[in-house]
Amino acid sequence: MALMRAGRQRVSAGPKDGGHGPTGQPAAALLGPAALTAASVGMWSAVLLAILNVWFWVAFILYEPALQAPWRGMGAYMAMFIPARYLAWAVPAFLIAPAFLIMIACLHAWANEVQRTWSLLALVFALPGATLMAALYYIQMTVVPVNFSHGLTDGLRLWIYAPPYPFTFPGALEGVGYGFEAGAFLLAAQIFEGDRLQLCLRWAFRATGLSALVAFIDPVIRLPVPLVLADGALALILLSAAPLLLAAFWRRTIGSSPAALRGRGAGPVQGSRRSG
Amino acid sequence: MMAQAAAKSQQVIAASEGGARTTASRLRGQLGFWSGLLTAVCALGFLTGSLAYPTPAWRGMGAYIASFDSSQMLWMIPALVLAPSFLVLMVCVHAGATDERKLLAEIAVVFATVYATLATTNYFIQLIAVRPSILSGSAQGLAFLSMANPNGLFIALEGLGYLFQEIGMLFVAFVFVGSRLKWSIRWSLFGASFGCWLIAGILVLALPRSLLSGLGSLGVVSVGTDLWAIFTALAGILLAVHFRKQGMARQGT
Repeated sequence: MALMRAGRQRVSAGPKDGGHGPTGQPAAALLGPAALTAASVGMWSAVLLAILNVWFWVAFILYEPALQAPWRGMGAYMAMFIPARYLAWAVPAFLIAPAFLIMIACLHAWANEVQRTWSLLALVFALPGATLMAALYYIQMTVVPVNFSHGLTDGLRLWIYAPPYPFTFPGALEGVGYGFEAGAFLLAAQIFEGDRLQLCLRWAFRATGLSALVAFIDPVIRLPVPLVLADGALALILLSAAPLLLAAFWRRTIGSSPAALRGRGAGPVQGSRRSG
Repeated sequence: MMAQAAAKSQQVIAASEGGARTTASRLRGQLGFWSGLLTAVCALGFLTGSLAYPTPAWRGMGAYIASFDSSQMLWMIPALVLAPSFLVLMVCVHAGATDERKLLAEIAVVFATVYATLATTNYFIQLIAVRPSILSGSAQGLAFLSMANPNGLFIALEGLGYLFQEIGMLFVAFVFVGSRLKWSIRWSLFGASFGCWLIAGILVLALPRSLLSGLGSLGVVSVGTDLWAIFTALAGILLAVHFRKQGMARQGT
């Protein structure tokens, strides 16, 4: 009966697997069809996000020597420019934006009534973040390499990753983008409560949000270099670990749902979804 | 026996849903109150900053660099904070809207998101990329990005951002109907959306130029912007009162 009511939300069904019901009591996270779809899509987007983050960080660290090289003018920069090494981190950085947005959208679709204000807030902060990051890295993927390949540098000075970064357009756009994404992580953290995995998720999301916030604060108030480097190392771990934890949580939730709900049989819930 | 068990189960579900609604509305009340207050403070901060340190009239990049002072960009800091606080406020209004008016609030949230994206990007680029370039003397080629250039990118993005915000305000105004407070919120939102431009147009036509000269060189735009800030602050305060009243009414019950 309760399952038939579940068009779009989780349903409290007992204290067994440590989910969290709307009144605060432990409850199984049995999912309605819509929430199950959100958990499935969300799980894969979270896994993809973690993979893209690892790819991005590895490629970006390999690009660091070029980024840290002393500035010798635009001509020298263009001569040193290797498109493949540049695209190696620009492509995953671009793909991270839609993967992140899908993950947060799925979190909103999965959330119950109490959590919905937090999840909507997270979504409206994730949207500007993803828009800005996607636009920035698309420009980096296309405009910068194409212009360099044609020997053109007009107007590109403040668009490249070079000194006085972060006081350039990429630095400013990353600052605002990471600022919004940090907000999205911090707001999404409020959704998780209950068992140990959810508490881990809450703290992982909070730590990720605080870590990403440094990218917003640093250009405004210059932070000590060791702190920024330590934060970079922490972000490297957290930006992959937090989505992986979320994927594990959703995997467990999907696993605990009845086979009928997972589409392996024509149970009463599927019938109710068709009729209603 | 079966009927009794089913009735009991229905009662448990109803109690659980009631508890969920209370928790959700308490959260909405708190967030709505603080974001409303912050919106008002930011709007007044923007007004104070822009009146105290007005943007100089555009006479080319050389003259702009020569007369540049970082304090001219001070008003951007409250304007930067206004965007996320306004976004949170719109989400809170959406969360509290009745079912038949939820769509209007949802449209407002979408428009507010576009506004927040454009406004924060625009201001952050000015503060982080343009300002240091001017201060380091390497901004000769940045005329197109200068905030004082009336044909520049900054004015275009700012205008577009606030157009989206005002469309959002227009939609969300229709969510409020009923008590005197709700009507006041509705009219202050009308004022902040497009009413300010109508009033500014009338004022500029009706008042002597000597009285308006202190408000800046752009006439309708300057007066309209000042009125927008006043109406936005008023709407923020009234919304904060609205959310606080809702919270107190709930505590009372």
